[in-house]
Amino acid sequence: MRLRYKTIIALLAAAPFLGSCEGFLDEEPIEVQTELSITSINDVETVLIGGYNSLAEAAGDYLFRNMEIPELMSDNLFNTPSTGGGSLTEFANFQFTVTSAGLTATWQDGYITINRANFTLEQLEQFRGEDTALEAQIEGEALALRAMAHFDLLKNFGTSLDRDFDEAHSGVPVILTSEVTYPERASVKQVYDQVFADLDKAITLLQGAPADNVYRFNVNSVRALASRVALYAGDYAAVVTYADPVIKSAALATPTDFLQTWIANTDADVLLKVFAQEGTVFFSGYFNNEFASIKKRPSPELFNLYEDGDIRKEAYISQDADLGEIVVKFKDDGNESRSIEVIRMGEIYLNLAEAYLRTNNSGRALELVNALRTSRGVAEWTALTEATLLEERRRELAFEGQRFYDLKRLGLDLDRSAMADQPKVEVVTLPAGDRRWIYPIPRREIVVNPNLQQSAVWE
Amino acid sequence: MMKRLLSFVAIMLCIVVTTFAQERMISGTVTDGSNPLPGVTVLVTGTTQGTVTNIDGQFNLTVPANAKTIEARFVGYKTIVVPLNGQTKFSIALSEDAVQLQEIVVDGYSTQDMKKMTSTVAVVDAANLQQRPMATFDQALQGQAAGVQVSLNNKAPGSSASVKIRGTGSLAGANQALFIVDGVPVDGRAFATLNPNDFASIQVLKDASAVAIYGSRGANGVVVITTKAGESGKPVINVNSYMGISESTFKGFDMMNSKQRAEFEDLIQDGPTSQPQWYGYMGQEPNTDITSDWFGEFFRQGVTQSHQVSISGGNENSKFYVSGNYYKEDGIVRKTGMERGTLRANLSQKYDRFSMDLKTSLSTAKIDNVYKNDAYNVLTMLPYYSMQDENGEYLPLDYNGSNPFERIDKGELSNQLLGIIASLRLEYELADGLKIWSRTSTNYDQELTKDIVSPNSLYGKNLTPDGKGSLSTTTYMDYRVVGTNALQYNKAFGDHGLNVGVYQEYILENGYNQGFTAYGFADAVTPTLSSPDVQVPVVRGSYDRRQTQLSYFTSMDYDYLGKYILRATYRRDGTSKFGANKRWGNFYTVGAGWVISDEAFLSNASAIDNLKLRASYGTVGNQGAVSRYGSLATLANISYAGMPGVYSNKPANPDLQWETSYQLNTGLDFGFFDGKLTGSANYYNNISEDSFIYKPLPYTSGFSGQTQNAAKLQNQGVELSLNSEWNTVAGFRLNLFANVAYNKSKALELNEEGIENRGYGKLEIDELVNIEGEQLFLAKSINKIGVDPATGRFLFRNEDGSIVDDFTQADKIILGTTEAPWFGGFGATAAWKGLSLSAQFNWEQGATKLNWDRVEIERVYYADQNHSVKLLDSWKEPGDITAYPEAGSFQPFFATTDHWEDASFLRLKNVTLAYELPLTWIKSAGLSKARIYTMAQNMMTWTSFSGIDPEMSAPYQSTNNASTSGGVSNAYPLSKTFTVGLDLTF
Repeated sequence: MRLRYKTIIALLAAAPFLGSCEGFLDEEPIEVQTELSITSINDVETVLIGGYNSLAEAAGDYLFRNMEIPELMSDNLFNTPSTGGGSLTEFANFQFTVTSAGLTATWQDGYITINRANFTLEQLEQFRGEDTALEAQIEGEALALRAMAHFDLLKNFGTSLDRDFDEAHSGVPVILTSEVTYPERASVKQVYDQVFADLDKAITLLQGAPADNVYRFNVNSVRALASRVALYAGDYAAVVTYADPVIKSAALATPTDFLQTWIANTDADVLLKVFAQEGTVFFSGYFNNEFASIKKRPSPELFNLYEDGDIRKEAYISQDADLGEIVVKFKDDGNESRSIEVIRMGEIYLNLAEAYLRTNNSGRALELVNALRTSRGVAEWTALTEATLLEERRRELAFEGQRFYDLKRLGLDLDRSAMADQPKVEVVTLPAGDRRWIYPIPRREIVVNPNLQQSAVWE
Repeated sequence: MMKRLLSFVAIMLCIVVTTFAQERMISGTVTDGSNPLPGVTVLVTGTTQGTVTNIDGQFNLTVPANAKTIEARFVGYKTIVVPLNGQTKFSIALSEDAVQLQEIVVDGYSTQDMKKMTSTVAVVDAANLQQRPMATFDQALQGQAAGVQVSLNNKAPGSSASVKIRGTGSLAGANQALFIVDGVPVDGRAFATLNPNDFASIQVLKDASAVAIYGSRGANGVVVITTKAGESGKPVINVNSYMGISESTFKGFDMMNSKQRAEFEDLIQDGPTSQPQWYGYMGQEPNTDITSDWFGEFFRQGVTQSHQVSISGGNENSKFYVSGNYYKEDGIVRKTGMERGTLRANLSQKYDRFSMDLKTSLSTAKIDNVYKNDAYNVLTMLPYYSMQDENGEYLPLDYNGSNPFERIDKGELSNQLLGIIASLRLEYELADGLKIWSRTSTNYDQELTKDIVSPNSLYGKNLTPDGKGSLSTTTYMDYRVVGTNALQYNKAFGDHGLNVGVYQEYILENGYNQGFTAYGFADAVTPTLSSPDVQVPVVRGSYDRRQTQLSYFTSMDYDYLGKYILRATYRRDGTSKFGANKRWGNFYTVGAGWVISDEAFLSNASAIDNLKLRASYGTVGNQGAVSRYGSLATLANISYAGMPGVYSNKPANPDLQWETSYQLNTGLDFGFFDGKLTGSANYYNNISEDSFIYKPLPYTSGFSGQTQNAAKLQNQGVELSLNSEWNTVAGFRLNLFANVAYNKSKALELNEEGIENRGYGKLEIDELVNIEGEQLFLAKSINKIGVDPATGRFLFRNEDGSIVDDFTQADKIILGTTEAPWFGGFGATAAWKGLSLSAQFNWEQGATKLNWDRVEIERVYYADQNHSVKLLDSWKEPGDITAYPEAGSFQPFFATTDHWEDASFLRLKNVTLAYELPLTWIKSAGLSKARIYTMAQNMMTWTSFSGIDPEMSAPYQSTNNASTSGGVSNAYPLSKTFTVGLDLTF
């Protein structure tokens, strides 16, 4: 009997200890997807796609932050009386403050994209060697995405666009991890260094990667982006280095195809597009949305720049019975949302032309501008100046969010006297050097992150 | 014949006389003063020679000639020593020993002698929870123990209460005390399945010294419930039945009748704005000749009944307690109610050094509720509509063209519960004082929710797909297993007492739920899935419920001479819920006690029975607010340009861990004048660190915020409980008790801005705030000062003293805390012979709560609901002095200062009048006890709060639905119940 009790005691004492190994506490979710659900390099590719998606979500709307708002802040576009209140008017008239929601969102959206790119890069590490081609492609694309977002933040919040501006806290925080950190601002130079490093590495990695998907980065679109960054930075030699291979491997659209790109949402001339999610009202037809009755009008000054026969005039601007000229570029074609052209061949020709012109190679610059003009159905020029090149750039890239930064990087005044009589235009001129050329760091961000410093002009 | 008999008697006498020379026979009766006590041990002092009294309290005992005294001992009574003095007949009266009754305290792992404790533990008399007409036992804890705040938000049958011990330690809402029944944690959902009549003891562990043994789960205090065990002796059968009726304590609001309403509508129409929102035609023509009594339609008289039978008994080695209970409550709201059946079998077996305890209970319950969406809107329904036409057909009453009464009558909204709690404990005594035991406890809960919309109702026709009704159902199954192994050593070495335990424990929880909503039920009266054409569009469910915990812990109690006491515990917990960096946590406590009354210098102070000073400090955790996988980054699916994608929608938090409470307690236990005054006073200071708070993250992280262990709170308070017992010679007994607690909760650290806006639901985001350095949960509101006689508009005073009439320009001012800092209970029992009368009160003081109903019925925002008659006094022309603005003017759609009311209250919770029949009357019926009683529950409430009921843990209350978060919506009123019961023991 005694023995039997001992057996019982031994058994009962042992049974609950069965759970005592450390693995007992490792509970993995079954339904909820977590970082533990990423189990192959193909899963990492879906993480990368999640990164691209940040450009298109309602909360991370690339077109709104990087195209529409800057365009309203330029001399190209104005709101019609019936539309475009709130945030848009705030930006169009430079009334934004450290608490403006639209400004805070611009900051937030950029870093959401950076976070997702970083998350992709971190997840990739555990599957190195599984599929080297796919690995290189994912890494290259994630780096390009991260570079684009850093650059877009820099162009808005940085206190300078000068490549070598190295004053502490003059740029934006450079984030290279998906972990929560409380970063300081880097200098403008440091941001550029990171952006170029990412882009250069992406170019190397994407050599030979598929280039058939206009919604994802490929070697050409990364070079194209790099040429834009280099142009903004004033590094003209680098513009040539990046842009030259692009025009050698990709063609400008014919006038017919170019028109189709805008009216039928085809991909001629396009290097990178942001996909419009179904149902994201904001994304479709920003400038002209029939469903939401959104209409915006071009500045008469811009409109008058287009010569007769310029295919761009037809593609970008139409006549409204009530309002006169209205913008139809990116027009919502009805039910479907319209994806947005973010980088195009036309810009690369202009980037390259400007680089040549500013490095005393006006002959090559003229050739490039004439090639572009031919493809847009207008006559070639015989001479080129910095002013005429900038005009051509304004024609080609109208409503694509470039004009404001072209003025900013070249230190030119904003002069909106041509549309001063419009009811929603309150600020007519913005002299070069005014603090409103740069966005202040959102107050919320400085409260949450004490390491962050406000730009001196906004103190 | 006669001769033989005589000789026999002679012989017998001879024997007796002979025996008498060395021993003698005595006999007697033991009573509790009035009634006989069976089972009392009567011993010759200093020997093991003794006997036990029979059912009539009688005993016969042979005592040695040299014996001087005998003594009578019985659990819960003071041992009495009686000198023999040559007597042979004894009448011994035992008196109850208040100290002895509370002697043993159970913390779920070990038992402790209360006198040798450093912990703060409140022992709630289980009898106070029993025979009360309440569907869930937790409400009965109200006012029973100092510092234990029990608030029932919705008073519907089967609802569980918020039970908060010593304030708010968590901002994340996880403030509920941990309930342990026979070793297994149970949560609110299971309360409705528990039968309080089976409870033997309820002990509330309040300070670190007591709860640190629960480690990461103990910070909110622990309520340990142990169910009854059998006692050796002849089987005792107990039958208890009661029945009663109930009605609502809330009598409705004073609303306009049809004539007044029609008059008022004219006023609205003439109003200056189009603000009142009309939902338009209701589907029936107003008839101002009638005034429908919607309140009367909605409420009814409830009926409650409970029937319990239990049998217990056993012998030295085998004991049993089995019981069955049936409880049924028809609620005070149309169609609501609860029905429950429970069965319990508690068995114990001892053999030599081995013992086994098995406790099992099985319970089923069904709770009927009413549709949350529109049910309570009936209180503001317009008076000139009718419910049914002359043919009994329901008429449309709300803007959906449906009729809430019809929806209630023809549909169903129910929860069916099945609960099993089982616990098996095996123990082996290895040596004197050294034992090893192992316990496995499980709790299984199953819940089936049903929501049926009849296809034959207006609601079904108008608002379900194809107009064919719907059936929505979800089944939840959750179980929990707790396994504990212990090695305990309890021994005295001369003047040193030692009680040490070493434990290992695991907890495994798992569960899932699944359900669906089906449509298309042809013309069936009640939708069933076998109906033809039934569609089941979406099946939903979740399987992600598994979580595990592993623990190692130890406790040590040491005393010297029984008067210098030390206690230390240490527990190490690991759980699957926490972040990789914080998977394991350590919790400890140290405590010391000094029984001053045992010191020589007080040995002559006869007035002092007991005086003990205690202090303890320790750390305890709270893991209540941590969700499973809360530490992991979660991913969401998207599709981008036709490509599948995922993104992280919640950042990982590898540092996620429990909230930690650093608890300091000092206490004084006292007993004076031979038990006439006993009590306990405590001061505590609990600092909750790593408290959860939603912390904004830098946007540079890619995320906007995260719940982090970042806030710091303090709860500081004092508790006093007093008990006074008076017994007079004439058999009159009076017991008085009172407890009072003051708790001040304070936000020490919140976030970078030092302010946390908490308002949601009916509250604007900044109408409920936490501010660093201030008391928690402060109400804020725009400061309404009246109506401008000139314009008929509300006036508001701003912080700078300026007065504005536009509420959107008005500042919100702080009104005070929404959590009552003062609360307690008191009561008295008077008994004489078999008659007893007791009354028990509970109260709260110092909270301001929002009566949302007043906001709704005293403003004209939705014009298609009825309003308070007070609005007939609305401003009509310049010069009118009134509290109500012009009807139809633009009015705040949120609360103003005057809607926040003082929610202090005093409630007569229970009055019981009982009569225990004298044994002589009932003996012939085979009864050993017969008690009849009548009870009044919630008979009176004194309060200035004008809403449904001032008792709630949330900051506001509303009969209406709309938003259910943040406050008490669809508040079910408190019932006032009168019962009559009978308690028989065979």
